Amino acid sequence: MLSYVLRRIIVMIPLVLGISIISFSIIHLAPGSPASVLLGPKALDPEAVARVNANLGLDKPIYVQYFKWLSRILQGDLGISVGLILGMQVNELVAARILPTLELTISALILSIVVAIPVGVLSAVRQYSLFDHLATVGAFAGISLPNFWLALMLILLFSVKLGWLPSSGIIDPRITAPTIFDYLRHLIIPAFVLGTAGMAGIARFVRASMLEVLRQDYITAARARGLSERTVIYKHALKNALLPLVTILGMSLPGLLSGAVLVETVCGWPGMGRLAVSAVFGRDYPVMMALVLLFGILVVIGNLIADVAYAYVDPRIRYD
Amino acid sequence: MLRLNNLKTYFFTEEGVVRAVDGVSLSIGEGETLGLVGETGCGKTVTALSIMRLIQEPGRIIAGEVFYNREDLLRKSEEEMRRIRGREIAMIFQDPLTSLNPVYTIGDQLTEVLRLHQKLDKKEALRRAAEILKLVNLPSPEKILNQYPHELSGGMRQRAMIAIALSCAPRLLIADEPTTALDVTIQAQILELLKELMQKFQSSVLLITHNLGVVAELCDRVAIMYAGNIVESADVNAIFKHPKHPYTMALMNAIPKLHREVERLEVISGSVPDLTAPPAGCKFHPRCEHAMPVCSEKVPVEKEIEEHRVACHLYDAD
Repeated sequence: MLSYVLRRIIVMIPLVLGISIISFSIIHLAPGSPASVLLGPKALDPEAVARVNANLGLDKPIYVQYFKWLSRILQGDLGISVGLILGMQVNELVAARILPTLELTISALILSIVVAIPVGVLSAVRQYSLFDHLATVGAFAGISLPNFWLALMLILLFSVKLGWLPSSGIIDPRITAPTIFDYLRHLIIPAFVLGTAGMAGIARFVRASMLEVLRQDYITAARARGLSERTVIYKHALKNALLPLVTILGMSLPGLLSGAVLVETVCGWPGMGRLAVSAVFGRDYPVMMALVLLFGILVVIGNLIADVAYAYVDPRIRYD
Repeated sequence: MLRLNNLKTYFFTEEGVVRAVDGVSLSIGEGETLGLVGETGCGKTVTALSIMRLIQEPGRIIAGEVFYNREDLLRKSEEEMRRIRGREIAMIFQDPLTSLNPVYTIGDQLTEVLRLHQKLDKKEALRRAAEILKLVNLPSPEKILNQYPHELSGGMRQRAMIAIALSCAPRLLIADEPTTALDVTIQAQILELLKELMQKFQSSVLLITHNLGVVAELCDRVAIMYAGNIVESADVNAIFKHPKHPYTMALMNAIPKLHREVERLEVISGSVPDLTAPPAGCKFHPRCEHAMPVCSEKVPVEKEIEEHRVACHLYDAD
């Protein structure tokens, strides 16, 4: 198992390199540049633009820029912001944003699992019941409602109209000694919104998986041994039905991270997603690259964890 | 000890009502082994699952009685049935790979039944489980207790299945084609084991098969099933020596004979009828060599002829 993990980590290196080459090229070839943002109206003066580009090293051929960037990255230096907060170390800028994003995405993931599994199981066990139909409608709503719209509606209802929940941010700066409860109040709307799509998808998946498993011979065999319906469903069927979910969760990570970009922006959540949006508008190349790289690494690690976890929970799968 | 009376189990599908079991009556005595024989799809497995009350939607038992020790199982509550399943009546399934839960060890699945029905604690159950595995001739039982079904060979899996079924010493064992999914050499070993265990446990057995060789080897009596009905039942010797029903005769003819040289194997022409719209009268008449006009009009009634029970118009009194 250990050698399998090591091999997977080695394979990750060219993968992440590939991600960085492609995203570096796209970012630098896209129209607009830091100069046009930094100079504002003066960007009409070609001499000023050339000066800024020379200063930032943007006048060199793109592959030279890439290798310079890569050699800095390998030394653990993500560079210096050229747009948002001019001159600030990207390392510091990004480091402060990682935890809030992880907090948000992991909360969303946990929330969607905790809601979706019982809903999916119950839908399957009581197929075509009123509950099943309601769950189906709810799932389609969860998949089709756009996150930004849902976030705005929830803020309108719970923050503006009812005043139960804060409208944005990770914590109210006026609170001097915030408790965990204060943090949770801020987390509810963004985590729920980010979790809706996953919640719906997982619930549908668990329902289908459970229905499939309940048709298997070993379920009839378990019933034939006199086991109670509870043992049959929650012991014999559930474990089999949930195994493939591990892979689904691993694959849901990219969706969660890109969802976080929207949700963080609408909910004023100080994470990597909101930073990414500002970096794009500011044509802040080093920050954009740093975030793309981080997102890429997170997704690759997520997939690795899913594969390893699968082998751990399913006795039929062993990696050597 | 077990008597089915005019049992009817239908499946209410979108394509129509499938009369999988359409008025089956049979009985098994104390310590007796009854072979239930018929082609694939004739309702053997549905009969077995009906006895266990394990018919799933869209199937329903719509009529009949299932007497077990003079009590009608169809009138029992679900709770009472659960106490009977696995303890009084146990079942062995056709394919041991799909009938064992892939994500639990053999030990988990075996001790689960022991703890449920015999109220053993975890340690006692494990010890008893090892004993039972030894009983079905599995080598190094302690190791197998910790193994998953996919780690065992087909024959070992079926032995494990038999171990689970016999763990609580059931009075009636239903074996649904216990050797069909196995290699021929393994089949012989499993049959030998079943024979030995049946003598040891003195349980009654309902052996479902389409293999007449298995019947000759293990059974006391035989019931021949066709399209949801029992067409003939008799002592095993009587069935093999003097089959009465044309379907039984055709089945016997279809067995390849070693001492006779033949160009082709005998087959029964045609195929099993569509059970949503079975032929009128005797369901076998379209394939029957002896069909008469009456066969397509009247359902034959079961009659007693020389220790056989036969449902065929050939034996009508007039």
